[in-house]
Amino acid sequence: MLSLRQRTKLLRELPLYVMLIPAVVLVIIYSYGPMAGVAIAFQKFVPARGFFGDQDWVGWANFRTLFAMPNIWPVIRNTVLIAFSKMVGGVVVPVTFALLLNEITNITSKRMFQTLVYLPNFLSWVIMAGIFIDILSPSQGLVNTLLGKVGVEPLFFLGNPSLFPATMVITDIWKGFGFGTIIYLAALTSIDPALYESAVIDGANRWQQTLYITLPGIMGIIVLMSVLSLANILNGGFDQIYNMYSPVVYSTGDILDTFVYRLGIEQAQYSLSTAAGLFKSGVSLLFIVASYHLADRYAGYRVF
Amino acid sequence: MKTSAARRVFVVCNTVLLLVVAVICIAPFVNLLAISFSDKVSVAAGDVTFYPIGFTTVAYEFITNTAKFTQSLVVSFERVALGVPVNLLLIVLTAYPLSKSVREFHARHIFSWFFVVTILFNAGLIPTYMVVRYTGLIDSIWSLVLPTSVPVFSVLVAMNFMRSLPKEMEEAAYIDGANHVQTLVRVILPVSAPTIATVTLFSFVAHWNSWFDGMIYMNKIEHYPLQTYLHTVVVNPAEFLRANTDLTGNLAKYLTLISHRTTGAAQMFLAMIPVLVVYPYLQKYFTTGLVMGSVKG
Amino acid sequence: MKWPTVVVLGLLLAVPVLTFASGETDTGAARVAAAAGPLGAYEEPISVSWSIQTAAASKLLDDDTWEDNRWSRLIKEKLNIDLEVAFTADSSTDAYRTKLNAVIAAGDLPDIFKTQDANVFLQLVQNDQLADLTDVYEAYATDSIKSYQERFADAYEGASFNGRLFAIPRMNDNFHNAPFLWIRDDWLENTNSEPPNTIEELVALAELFATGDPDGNGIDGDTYGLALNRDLIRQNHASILGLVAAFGVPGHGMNMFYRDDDGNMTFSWIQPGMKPALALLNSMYERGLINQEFTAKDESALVEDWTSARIGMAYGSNWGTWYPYNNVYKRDGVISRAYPIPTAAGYDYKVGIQSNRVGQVTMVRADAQYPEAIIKILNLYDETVNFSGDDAFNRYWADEQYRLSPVYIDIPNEVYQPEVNLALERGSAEGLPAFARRSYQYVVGFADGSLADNDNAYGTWGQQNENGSLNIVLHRYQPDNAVVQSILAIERPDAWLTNVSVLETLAITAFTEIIIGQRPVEYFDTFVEQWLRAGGQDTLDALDEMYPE
Repeated sequence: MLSLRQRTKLLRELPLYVMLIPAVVLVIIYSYGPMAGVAIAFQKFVPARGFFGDQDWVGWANFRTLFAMPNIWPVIRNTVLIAFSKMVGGVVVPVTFALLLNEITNITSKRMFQTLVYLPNFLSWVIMAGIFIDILSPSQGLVNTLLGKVGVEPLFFLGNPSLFPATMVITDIWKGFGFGTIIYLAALTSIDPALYESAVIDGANRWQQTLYITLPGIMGIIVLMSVLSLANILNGGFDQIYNMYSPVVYSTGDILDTFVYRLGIEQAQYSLSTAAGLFKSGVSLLFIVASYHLADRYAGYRVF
Repeated sequence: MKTSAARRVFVVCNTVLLLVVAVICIAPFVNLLAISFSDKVSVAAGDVTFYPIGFTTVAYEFITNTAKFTQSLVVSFERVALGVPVNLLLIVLTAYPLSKSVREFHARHIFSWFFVVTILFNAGLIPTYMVVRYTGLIDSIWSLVLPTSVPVFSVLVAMNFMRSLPKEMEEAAYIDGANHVQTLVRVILPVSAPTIATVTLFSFVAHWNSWFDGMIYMNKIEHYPLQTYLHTVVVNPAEFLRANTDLTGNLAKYLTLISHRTTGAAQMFLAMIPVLVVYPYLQKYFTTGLVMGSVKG
Repeated sequence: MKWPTVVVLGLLLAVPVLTFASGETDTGAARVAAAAGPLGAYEEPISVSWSIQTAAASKLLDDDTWEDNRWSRLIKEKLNIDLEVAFTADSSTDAYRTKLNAVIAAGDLPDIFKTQDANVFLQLVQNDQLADLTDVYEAYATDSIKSYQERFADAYEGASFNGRLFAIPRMNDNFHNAPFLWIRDDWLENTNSEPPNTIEELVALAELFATGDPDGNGIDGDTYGLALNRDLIRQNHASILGLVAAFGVPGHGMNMFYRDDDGNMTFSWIQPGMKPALALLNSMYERGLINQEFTAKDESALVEDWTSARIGMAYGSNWGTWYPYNNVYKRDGVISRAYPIPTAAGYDYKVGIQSNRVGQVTMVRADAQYPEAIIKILNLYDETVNFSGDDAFNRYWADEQYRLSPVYIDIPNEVYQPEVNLALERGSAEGLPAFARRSYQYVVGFADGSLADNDNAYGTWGQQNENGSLNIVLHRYQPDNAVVQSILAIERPDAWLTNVSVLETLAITAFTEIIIGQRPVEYFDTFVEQWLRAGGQDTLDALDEMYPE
C-alpha cells in the first residue's frame, strides 16, 4: 500500500510520465523495433530467404570472420586514433571559438561570423574531396605554395601515411566546428547576467570572468557533448575518408567503416556489416557508461 | 566599461583571427559558386578559381528544368512542415521531464538511458526498412517523419538547457499552484528561445538534408524529397563506374552527360537556399533568452 | 502555445494504422486465359507490376510519366497488359541495388524486375524466388528472339541453372572489356612521334612527353608521361591493365580467374609477368614519367589533368571518346585515339575480359500470375524496335526510351561492329539493322565533319571507326588469340565472396608500394604468398571444382 505521501508524489509525477508517452512509443517502434534485426549479425543472412525466412544461424562466426581479417587490428587502431582526435578537437575548437565570438560586441558582425563558420557544414565530402585534392596537392596546391613561402618543403597531405590522419582530423574540424559553436553560443545565453555584474563590482577582469563565470556556466553542455561524442569512438567519418583515402595511406587511414564498406562491395554482406555495427555500438556503450559513472562518482554530476 | 590597452590589443587580434577563420570557411563556397556558373569544360580543366569562366546557368537549368524538381521541392516543404513541428513537440515534451532531478521525477534515469541507447545502436538498413514497411509507411510522407520523430541529441541539448535554468523560477511557479504543463508552458518555454531556436535549426537542417530515407522508403520518384531527387541527378563518375561494372557504349553515353562538378555545385547551392533564409531568422533568438525571462521571473 | 496535445498525438499514431489498412491490395482474381501466339493480346486486361531502373539524366519525353508512357500505352494496346510500377530507383548509383535488397528481404518482389548482381540472381534462384521461364519461353518466344539465343549462347547459359531458364539475359558479349592505349593526336604531332608498338617505344614516348614540351606551351617538363590513377587494377582510365597485359597478365579488376596453358586454375594478379611489369612501372615512377601524386588521384581527378593538357597518354577502356576524352575535344578540338597496347619482347600479351555469362538479367518472381507476360513483352519489344521501321525505332528506342519497356534487348552497338565494318567498306548503310545504322551514320558523319560537333558522333566514332577501339579487338587482339575470358560466372565460392575485398586491398596496396618504391620488386613474391593464404588458394580450389574443365 502506498502511503499518502507516496501517492501525492506519484500524482505530482504522473504528468511527467504522460508527457513522455508519445516519444517512448515512437522510439520503441522505430528505434527499438529495428534493433531486433541485429539478429542478422548471428546469421548468414540471405535477403532472398526473406527477413523472417529460414536463415542459417551461425552464432559468433561473423564476429570471428571479422576479427580474423588481416589488418583488422591496425584498422581499429586507426579508427580510434582518428575518432578520438576528432572528438577532442570537436569540443575544444568550437568552445574556444564560441568564447572568442562572445567577446565581439557588435551584434551584426557576431551574427555574420556565426553564419559564415556554419557554412562548411553544408558541404558534402564528395564535393569537398575534389577541392581538397587540388589545394593539398604537393606540386600545385595552394597550401603547399603558402608553406613554400615560409620555407617548408612540399607536404603530400593525402599521400603520406604519417600526415593523412592529421589531415582528416583538421579538415573534419574545419567542416564541423560551426555546428558546435551554435550549441555553445545558445548555452552562453543561459548564464545569468547578474553574475557578471557582481563580478565586475568585485573587480574581476574579462579573463577572470571567462574563467570563473562563462566556462563553468557552459560546463554542463561541454561535458554532455563530450560524453555524447564518445558514441563516435569507432566512427572515423566514412564519407570523408572514403572520398579522400587511397591504398598508400591504408596503413594509417583505413577505418572500420571503410574497411567494412569494402567488404560489402562484392555482395551484400549484411551479416558482416551488422556484426561490425554491433561491435561498434557495444564499445561506444561501454565508453559512455564508464564516463557517465566517472562523472557521477567524482564530480557528482549526472551527464544526462 | 573602461577599455584597457590590453583589452584593445585583444579585440584587434580576436577580430583578425575571426576574420581569417571566416575567410577559410567562405573560400570554398566562392569557388563552388564560381564552378556552378562556369561551363563544364573549363571546370574539367581546373581553370575556375573564384569567378566563373564561360558564364552559364546551364547547370541550374539542368537541375530545375523538370517537373520532378518542383514535385520534390513540394515534398521537401511538406516534410519540413510536418517533421519539424513533430520534432519540436516531442523534444519539448521529452526534455522537460528529463530535466527534473531524481527527487522530482524518480524514473528519470531509466528514461534517459532508454533514449541514449538509441543513439548508440543503429540496426541497419533492412530491419529499419521492415519496421517502416510493417507500419504501412512505405511510399508515404510519414516514412520521412515518424522514424526520425524523436531526435535524441536535440532532446539532450534541450534537457541540459532546462536543467541549467535557475531552480527558483520553477519553485515560484509551483508555489503559485502551477502544474507541470503550466510550468512548462508559462515558465520554461518563454526563456528557452535560444535552445528552441537551436533545435529547430538542427531539425530543419536534418529534415531538409536527408536523402537516403527518401530513396529507400519511396517507391515513386514523384514522392522523392528534394535532396533525394538531386542525388539522382548529380552522379559522380567514379561512383557511376563502380556501380556499372559492365559498361557498354550505351551506358558510357551517360558519362558524357554527367558533369558532376558543375551540377554538384549547383545542387548544393539550390539546396542551401532555404537554410540560409531560415538561419538568420532563428539567429536573433540566440542572443535573447534569459535576459528577457529573468526579468519576468 | 496551448496545443491540444493529446489530439495531435492521437492523430499521429493513427496515421500509420490507417495507411496500413488502406494499403491492402485485391487478391484472388481469377486468372485470365493466356492468349495464344507470341503477340496475342489477353482477352481481359491483366496487370503486371515491375520495377524501373532509372539512370542519371535519363529522361521522359513529351508528357510521358513513369506510369503512363509510350511503352505502357503500346503494351496496353497490343497485349492488353496494364503495367504497374512497383518502385523506381536509380541504377547509376547504389540506389536500385539497395532498394531491391530491402524489397527482396521483405518479400515484396514485383512481377518483373532486373538486377546486375550475379549473387542476388543466384540467391533468388537457389531460394525458389524466381519463375522458371523455360516453358513459357519455348511456347511464346518468336523465332527472332530464339535466334538471339544462338548468337548469345553464353549469356543465356549464364541465366540458366540445370538447363532451366530463370531470366532473360542481357544480350551481349564482353570482348570490348579489353584495354587500349589512348594518346592525344596533337602530342604525337608536336613531338614528331609515332604511336608505340613496343614497351620500349612506350617508355621512350613517355620520356618525351614528360621531359619535353608536347603541349607546346614553351615550358619543358610541365607534363606527365603516362597517366595512372590510384585504383590501378580496376577497368577504367589510367589503370595498369594495358601495361601488364603486355607481360602476359590478363587483368580485369578482381574478376580474372582462368585456366592457364596447363589447365590449372589461376588468377591474373599472381602471374609471374607482374614482376617485370611492376619493375618497369617503378622505374618509370622513379624517373618522373608517372605523376608523383597518382596515389591521390581517382579517375575524375585525372580528367582535369587530361583536359588541361598535363597528361597525353593513358591506358583505358574502349569508350574513351565518350568520356573522359570528350572534354578536351570540346575544349580544344583535340582528338584522342585508341591504339593496340604495345607489346613486350619475350611475352605473349594477354587481355582479360569478364565472363560473357554475367551481366544484367530480367527476372519474374516465382508466384507471378502471368509468367508468360515477360516473353510477350519481349516479343513486342523486338518487333517494335527492330522490325517496324525508323519511326518506331526513333520513338521507342532512341533517347533511352527503351528503358521504359519492362524487358528490353540491350544489344549495345559493340555487338554490331562486324556489320558496321561491312557497311563502312561498302559505303552504304543499306541492310543494317536500325541500331547499327545509327552507329554507321555517326561514324561517317564525324569522319566527314558533318557531325563534328555532336557528342554522340565523336563517342561512337572513337569506338567504331575502321581503326576504332572495337576494331582493335576484332582485328588485332582476337586474331592474336590474346583475349582471355574469366571463368567466373554466376556461381562464386564462399571463400571468394568473404575475402574478395581483403584480397583486392592486398593487391592494390602491394602494387602501389612497389611502384612508388616503398618496397622492392621482390616483395611481389611475398604478396603472392599472402594472397594465397588470405583466401586466394581456397578460392582457386573451389573454382576448380565449381567450373570443371
